Amino acid sequence: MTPLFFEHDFLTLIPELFFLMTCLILLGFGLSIPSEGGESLRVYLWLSLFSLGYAFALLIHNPIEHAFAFSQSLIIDEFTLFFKALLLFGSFGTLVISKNYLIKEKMYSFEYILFLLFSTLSMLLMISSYDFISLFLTIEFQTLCFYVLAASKRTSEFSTEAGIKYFLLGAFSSGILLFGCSLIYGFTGMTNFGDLGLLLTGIALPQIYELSSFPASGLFLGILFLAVGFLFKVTAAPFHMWAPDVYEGAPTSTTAFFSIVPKIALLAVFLRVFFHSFYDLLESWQNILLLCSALSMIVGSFAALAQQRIKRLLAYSSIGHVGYMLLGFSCASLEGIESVCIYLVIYVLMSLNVFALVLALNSVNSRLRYVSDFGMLSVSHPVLAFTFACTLFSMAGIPPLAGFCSKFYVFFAALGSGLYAVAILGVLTSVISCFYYIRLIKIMYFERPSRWLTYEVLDLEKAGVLGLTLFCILFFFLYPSPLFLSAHKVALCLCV
Amino acid sequence: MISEYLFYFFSSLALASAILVIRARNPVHSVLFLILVFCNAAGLLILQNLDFFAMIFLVVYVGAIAVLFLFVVMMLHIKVAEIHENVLRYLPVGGFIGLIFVFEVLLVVENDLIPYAGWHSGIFSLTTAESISYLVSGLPFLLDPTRSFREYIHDFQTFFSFGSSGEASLSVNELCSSEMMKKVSEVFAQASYTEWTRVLEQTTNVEAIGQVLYTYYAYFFIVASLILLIAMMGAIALTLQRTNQVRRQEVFEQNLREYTKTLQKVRVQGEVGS
Repeated sequence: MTPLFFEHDFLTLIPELFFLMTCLILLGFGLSIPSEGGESLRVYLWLSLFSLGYAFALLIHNPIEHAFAFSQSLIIDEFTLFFKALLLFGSFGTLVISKNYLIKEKMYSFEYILFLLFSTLSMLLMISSYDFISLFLTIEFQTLCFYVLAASKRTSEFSTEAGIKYFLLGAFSSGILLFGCSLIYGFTGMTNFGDLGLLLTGIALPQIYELSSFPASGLFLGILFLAVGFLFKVTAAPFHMWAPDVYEGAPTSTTAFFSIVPKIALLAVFLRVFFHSFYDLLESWQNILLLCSALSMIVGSFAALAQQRIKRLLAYSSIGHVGYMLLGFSCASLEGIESVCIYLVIYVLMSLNVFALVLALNSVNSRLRYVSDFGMLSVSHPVLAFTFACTLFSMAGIPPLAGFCSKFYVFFAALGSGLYAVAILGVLTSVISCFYYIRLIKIMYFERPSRWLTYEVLDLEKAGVLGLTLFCILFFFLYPSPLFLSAHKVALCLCV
Repeated sequence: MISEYLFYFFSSLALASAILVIRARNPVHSVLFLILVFCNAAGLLILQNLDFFAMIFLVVYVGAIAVLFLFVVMMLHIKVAEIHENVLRYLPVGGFIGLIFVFEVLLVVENDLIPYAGWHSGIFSLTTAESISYLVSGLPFLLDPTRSFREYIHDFQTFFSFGSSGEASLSVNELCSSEMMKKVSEVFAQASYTEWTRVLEQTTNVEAIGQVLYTYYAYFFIVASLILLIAMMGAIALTLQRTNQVRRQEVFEQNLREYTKTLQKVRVQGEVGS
C-alpha cells in the first residue's frame, strides 16, 4: 500500500482535525434539533464544551512535539502548545460563563455556539501557521466568524451596528495586512516565515546592509503595513476606535469572547512573525510597537476615566492591557517574550473573572449597564463584591495579587532592554488606571445606586469559574514557578 | 513594444475608472465602472501571460460579484443625493492620509524599483560604477543563448582580472552622464534571454496550478473551503427568520410515522346498506 501524501501531516494535527470534525458534526446535529427553547441549547452547549475539553486533552497528550506540517505551512512546537492550551482554556471558560446569558436573552440559535467553536478552530490554526498565506487565511476565517458573532443578537440595533462597524474596519485592516504580506512577498519572493528568517539573517549589520543593496525600504513598508494590520486586530491605541463601540454593542457573552480569546492567537502568531522572520530588521518594527504600546497605555488609562458604561470601561481597560503586552513584545528580548506570556495568562484569568461577574449580575428587572448599577453590591452580594474587588485590585496592579506580578515582569523586561522612558510611562499610566478600578470598588462598597437591580441566583458553572480564577489571582504569588518555567520554554522556542 | 503600450492603456484606464467608481453620482454607474476596472485588470493579467487567471477574474468578479452588486443597488433604491453630501468634510483627513501613502510608495519606488542593477555590486564587492561598466559591456553577451559555456568562462575570467586590477575604473561623473544612462537603458531594452525550463517543458497555467493546489497547498485549499462554509452559515444565521407561524417539514417525524397507521379504512355508518 502506498502511503498517503500527507499521512504524517494529519498525524501532527490530530487535535485540530478532531475539533474540525466535531464542529462539522455539531453543525449537522444543530440542524436536526428543534430551534426553540433553552433545553436543546443547553444540550448543545454541553456537547460543545465536551468537544473543547477533548480537543484540550488531545492537544496536551499529542505525542508529536516538534513538526512542520503541510509543506511548512504549519508548525508545532512548545510555543504553539502553550498558546493553544491557553486558547482552548479561554474559549471553554467563555462558553461556560455565557451559558445562562444566552438562554436569558433568548438567543436560542445554535449557530452562535457553532461560530464560537469555528473561530476557536481558526485561532488554533492561526497559532500554528508558519506561512503568510496560512496566516492570512486563518485571520480571515476568524474575523468572518467574529462579524457574525458581533451581529448575532438580531433583535438589538446596537448589535447590528456593532457587526457592521466591525465588518467595515475589519475588512479594512485585513486589506492592509494583506498588502503588507504581498509587499514582503514582492520584495523577497517568499512567504514562509522560516525562509524569510534565513534570508534576512544579518541584514542589519552595516557591512552587509550597504554592500548587498537589498531592497530594504520596500520590506520596511511591508513590515509597517503588517504591523498596522496586526495592531488593528489587537485593538492597540491609534487603531482602537472600533473596539469600544463593538464591545458595547455586541452581546455581553460575545464581548467576553472578543476581549479574552483573539488576543492570545494574534499575539502568538505575530510574536512568531516578528521574532522568527524579522528579528534582524528589529529597528523597523520596534519603534512602531513601542509607540503604539505607549499610546495604548495612555488611552487605556485616560479614556476609561470618563466611561459610565461598564462594557465600555472594560473595553478601554483591555486596550490598556494590550499596551502593556505590546511593551513586553517590543522589548525584543527573552524576558520580553516571557513577560508577554505571563501577562497573557493572567490577563485571561482576570478577564474571565470580570466577565463572569458581569454576566452573573443578571438582573431580573433590568439590564446591568452602568457603572453606578454596582452600588451597594457589598450589601446585596458580599461575596461577589469581594471577588470583584480582588480582581479589580489585581488589574490595577496592587502588590500581592497576580496582576502586580505580570506588570512587574513587563516593566522589568522593559528596563532590561533599556526602554526606560516607556517603562516609566507604563508605571505612571498604571497608577492613573488605578483610579478608575478603585472607583468601581468605591461604588460597590460606599455608594447608593440610582436604581436598584435585583439579581438572579448565581449558577454553579459561573460560580466555579469565578472561584477558580479568583483562587489563581489571589495565590499566584505563592507558587508562580510553573508558569514562569513554561513561559521560559515558550520564549526559548523563538530563539532559533 | 505593443505590449508596453497595451500595459499603459489598460493600467491608465483601470486607474481612471477606479476613480470614477468612487466619484460617480449614480450607484449603478459606479458598479458599471467597477466592471470596467475588472476588465482592465483581466487585460493586465493577459499581458503577464496569465490567461487562466484572467478568465477566472472575469467569470468570478464580473460574472458573479459585480452582477450581484448591480442587483443589490437596483433593488435597494439608494437616494443619489445622500451619498455625496460629505465629500468635502472628509477631504482634509483623507487627503492627508492619502498623501502619506503616496509618499511612502514613491519612496520605495525611488530606492528599489528604478533599476540600476546594483545587485551585482554586493556579490562581487565592487563599486557601483565598476559593476555598471561590467553590466554595460557584458550583458548582451551574457544573455545570448547561442554562445557556448567556454565563452562565458572566458568572459568571467577577463572580467575579474579587469575588476580587481581596477585599470578601467569609471568616475561617478562619467557614470551619471546621460550617455552612460542611455547605454544602460539600451542594453536593458535589447536584453533577451532564454528560459531553458520553458523550452524543456511547457506547462499551461491550469496545469501549473493543479500541480500544486492539491499537493503542496492542499491545506490552504481546505481552509479556504472552511471560510466559504462560514460565509454561507453567517449569511443564513443573520437573515433566516425563525417564526412559529411558518409550517415546517419535520423530516424526522415523517420518517418515524408508520404507514400502516396513516392509511386506515373507516367504516361509515349508513352506507352499508346501500
